[in-house]
Amino acid sequence: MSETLKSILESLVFVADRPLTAKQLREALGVEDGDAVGKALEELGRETADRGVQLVEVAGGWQFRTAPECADAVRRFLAQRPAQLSRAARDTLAIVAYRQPITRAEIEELRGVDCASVLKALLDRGLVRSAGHKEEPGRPLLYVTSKEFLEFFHLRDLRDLPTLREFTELDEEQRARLEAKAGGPADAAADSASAPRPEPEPEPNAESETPTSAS
Amino acid sequence: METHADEVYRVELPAFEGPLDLLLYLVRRHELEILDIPIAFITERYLEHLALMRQLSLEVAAEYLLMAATLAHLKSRELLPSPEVTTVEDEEDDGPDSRAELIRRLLEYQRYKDAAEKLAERPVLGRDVFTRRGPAPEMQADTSEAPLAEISVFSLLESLGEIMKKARVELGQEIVVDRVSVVQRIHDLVDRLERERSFTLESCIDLAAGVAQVRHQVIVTFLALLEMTRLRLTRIHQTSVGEPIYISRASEDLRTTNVVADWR
Repeated sequence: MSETLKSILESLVFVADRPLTAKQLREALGVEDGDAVGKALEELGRETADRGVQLVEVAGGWQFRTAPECADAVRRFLAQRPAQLSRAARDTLAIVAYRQPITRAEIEELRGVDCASVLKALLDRGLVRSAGHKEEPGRPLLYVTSKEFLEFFHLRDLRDLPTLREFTELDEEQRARLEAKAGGPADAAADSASAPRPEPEPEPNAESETPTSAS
Repeated sequence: METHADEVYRVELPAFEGPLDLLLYLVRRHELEILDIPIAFITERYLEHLALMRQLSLEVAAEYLLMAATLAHLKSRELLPSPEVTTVEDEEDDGPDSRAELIRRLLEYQRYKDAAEKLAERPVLGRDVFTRRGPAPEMQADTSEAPLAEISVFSLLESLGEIMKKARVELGQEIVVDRVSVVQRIHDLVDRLERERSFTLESCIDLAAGVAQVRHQVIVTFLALLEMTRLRLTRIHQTSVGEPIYISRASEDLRTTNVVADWR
C-alpha cells in the first residue's frame, strides 16, 4: 500500500465539505486501479477508528467526522444546540425510510394522523425529497429519503438501516392466536387490509427486512 | 400548605402523536398483549384519556374521535351474540374497522415506532458526530474589497431608521410633489449599479429633501431593494452592525429580469 496515496486521499477528504465517493477520488487523482483507492480508504478508516477524528463511510462516500464519544465536548465548544428531530418527524422519517417510495396518504394511514406539516418540515430540512408521482388516481407525489438523510443518521446506505421487526417474527403461539382472532390466517388478514395499496418495496429494504430472531 | 390552584390539578400527560400512539401507550401502560387486546377495557381507558385531554383544554383532533367511534363499534359488536355461521356478507360488514384490522394497524404502528427509536439511537450529525465546519472559504476572483457579511432585512430597516433620524429637520410647511414610484426607483438603482460596482444605501437617499420626501424615498428604496434582492439582482452587505450598508449587484445582466409588472 502506497503511503503517498493514502496521504493524498486523506488530504482530499479533509478539504471537501461533503462526503467524497471512491469514484470521485479516483477521478480526481487519475488513478486507474480502482481497488487501490478503496483499500487505502478502508485502511485509513481502520487507522483512525479510535481517534477523535475518524474517516467514516457515510452516504456512499467518505468523510472525516468527530468521534461520538467526544460529542459533549465538541457541542460545548461550538456552543451549539444539538440537532434534534421531533417525535413526529422521527416517526414519519422512519416510515419513509423503510417504505419508500411512499405517498403522504400512505404515511398518514400508518401513523393515523395528518402528516402535511411534518412532511413539509422534513422536505425543508432536506431529509426527505419527492421522487415522481404514483400512477393512481390523483397522481400523488411519492417521497423518498435523501442523501442528507444518510448523512444525518451516519448511515453508509439504506441497507445500513436498523432491521425492521416483522409480523413474521411473531412466534407460533402468537400467530395462532392472531389467526384465531382474525378468523383466518394472520397474513391473509394483513394482506386484505393493505390490498388497496400495492407496496413498491425498494431493493435495499428487501435485504434489511429479512426476518431475524423474535425479540 | 400553599399551592397555586393550577398546580394542584397538574397531571403529567405525555403528548400523543395521534390515536394509534395513544392506544399503544395504553396497551403498554396496562401491560396488555396487542394480539389479545381486550376491546371493552381499552375502549374505556381510551375514552377516559380523551376526557382528560379535554379537561386540560387540549384540542382533541378529529382522528381521536374517529378512533373512539371505531372502538365503541367494536365493543358493541362483542356484546352481541356471534352468529353460528359467518357469511360472506358478514365478512364484508366487518369492513376495515374489524378487530383484526385494528390489531394489524397497531402492530404496524409499533413496528415503525420501534424503527424510529432505533434510528434515533444512531450517531446523529450535529448531535453525536460533527464534520468540519462550513464549506471551505471560496476563492473569489475579485478581492479588491473587504469581505462583507450578508445581513438580514432587519439591519436594512434599522439603517433606514438611522437615515430617517438624520432627516429630522424641522420645516414649517411641506408640499410633496413628484413622488418616485418603486418601479422608477428600481430603474434608478439598476442604472446606478451599471455604472458603479457598489455604493452605500445612504447615498441613494437625498437627505436635503424634506422629512416627508425622505420618508417616501426611504420606503420606496426599501421596497425596491427588497424586490431586487428577491429577484437576485442585488446583494446587500454590511461589515458589522451600525456600519454603512452596501448595495452591490448579484447578477451580471440586470436588464433581463422583468421587475416592472408587480409594482404599478
